[in-house]
Amino acid sequence: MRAIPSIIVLVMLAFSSLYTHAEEAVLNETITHGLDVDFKVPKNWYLYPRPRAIVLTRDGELLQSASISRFKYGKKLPNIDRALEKTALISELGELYMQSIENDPEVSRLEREAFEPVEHGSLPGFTLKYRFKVANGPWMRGRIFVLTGENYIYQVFYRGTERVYYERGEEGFESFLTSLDILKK
Amino acid sequence: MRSASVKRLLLAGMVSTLLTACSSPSVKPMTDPGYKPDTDDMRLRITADKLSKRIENSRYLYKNPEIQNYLNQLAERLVGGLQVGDLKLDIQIIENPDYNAFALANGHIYIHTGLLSLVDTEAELAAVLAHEIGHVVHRDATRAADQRQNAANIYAGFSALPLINIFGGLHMAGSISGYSRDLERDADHYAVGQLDYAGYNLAEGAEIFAKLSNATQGTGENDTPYFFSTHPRMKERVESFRMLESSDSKAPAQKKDPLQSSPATLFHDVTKETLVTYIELGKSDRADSLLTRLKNIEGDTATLRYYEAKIAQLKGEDDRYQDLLTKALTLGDLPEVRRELGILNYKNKEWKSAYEHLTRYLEQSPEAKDRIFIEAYLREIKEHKDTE
Repeated sequence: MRAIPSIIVLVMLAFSSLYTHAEEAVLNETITHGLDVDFKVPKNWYLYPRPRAIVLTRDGELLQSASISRFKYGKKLPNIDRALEKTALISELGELYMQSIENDPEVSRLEREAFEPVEHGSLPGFTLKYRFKVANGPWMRGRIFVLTGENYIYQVFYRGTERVYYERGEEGFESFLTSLDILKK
Repeated sequence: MRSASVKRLLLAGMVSTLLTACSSPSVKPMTDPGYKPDTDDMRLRITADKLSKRIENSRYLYKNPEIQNYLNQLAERLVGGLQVGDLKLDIQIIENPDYNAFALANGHIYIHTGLLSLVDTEAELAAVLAHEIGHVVHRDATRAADQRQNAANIYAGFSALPLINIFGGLHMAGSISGYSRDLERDADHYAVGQLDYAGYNLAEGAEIFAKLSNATQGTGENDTPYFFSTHPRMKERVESFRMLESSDSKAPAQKKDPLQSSPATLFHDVTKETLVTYIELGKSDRADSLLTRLKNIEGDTATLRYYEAKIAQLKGEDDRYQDLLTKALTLGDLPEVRRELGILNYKNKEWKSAYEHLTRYLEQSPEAKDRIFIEAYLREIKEHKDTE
């Protein structure tokens, strides 16, 4: 029984390394995508542009990843039938995000660690720090940055396994966040 | 009375014949004298035990010894003891707002808080419980697997498909389709017999299915919770119960005193928590119906007015939202009401009242999770107040 966590990690590692080579990885470049954002890919991290988001990882997406995406106001969050209205205060948006995560069927346990206002560039927003257990999976740590612009909401997620990978990617994530420039608000 | 009993026997005979034709003759009910668990039973029980363990270790298990004891006592009354064949029934509660109840092959039966919040009488609860016990007694998990004659389909027949969603990641939806309609009708038939045995009024018990049918009106097969995708739809439950009931037109009124004269009162907290979940999920119609039930139990209170205000907010009824919050405050000085009013006033630039409500909110809730935000709002309000 004790071998099971190690086996899971090995399988995840194998899977994530296959994934790394399955797509064209872009290393350490400054780029601007359809999301109208500019940032630097941290050293030793890989970038995966997706149709609606940009995903970055150092060790494999299942172990730790950062992502950025944006959407217009009025969008409903997953797992709850509530829309992110432009009239909502930052704290109200944060509560909705938390409720969305709490109702995620993949999350079997959840602990909120911090909920604070942030400002990035000129955009106000909030950050949520939490730890959660994936159903049938490991404990993870997560951070969300939500920034509210005039027309768009930008959301930045960072998550990783509580053991090893969250901490291992934290410095890279911080440098990504510092370099992040939101061009279209 | 005698002709009614004959009719009932005939009907039971017809149902049994139909069921026998549809299901495997090799899978005998647990109550059968020659019953012995076979390999399929054992395999299904191992899987069921794993699922039970997952539920017990998850945040979804609702721990309330009083309610759990009550449910187990009720099961005991329905069956004449918790022992069924070589299995012991164990009734537990799952914290989930969907209307559901399901049985696993190991004799564990789970009832969702969402369903409990709809229960008015013990007969209603007994009907749901007896139906699920019927699945265990009839070894429906094994029968379903046997019917499919497909070893890979070992999960077939678990009305526990929900767990796939709840506990995620198993991606077996394609291989699990739930019990067939015949097995469900068989469980209904069993439920009717046990309700009668335990002294419950059948018509009263069947009410729960009518309620569930109404509560899910307008939802299609694909977007309904698994209760409906693995059970024939509630409408069929209602018809099935009515058919069985009409076979005994002089069905006696309740013959024994219930264990709980008002289960709705016992489930009061469950109902309140479910209401809060509906509000969080944005399900205003469901929240509305629970609010009415709660008002019937506890009358007009500040908390219920606050929930009513939140439902109005969900519906976009802004004036009513503000009006209800103000009324809630007259009934009791609750921190959540102060916060809502403060935020509302802040948005409307009504600085003085915003300042008053938010300050009071922080006094009442020094550990508020959004304290840092509220303090920022208060700083901004103070600047406006000072310049006015």
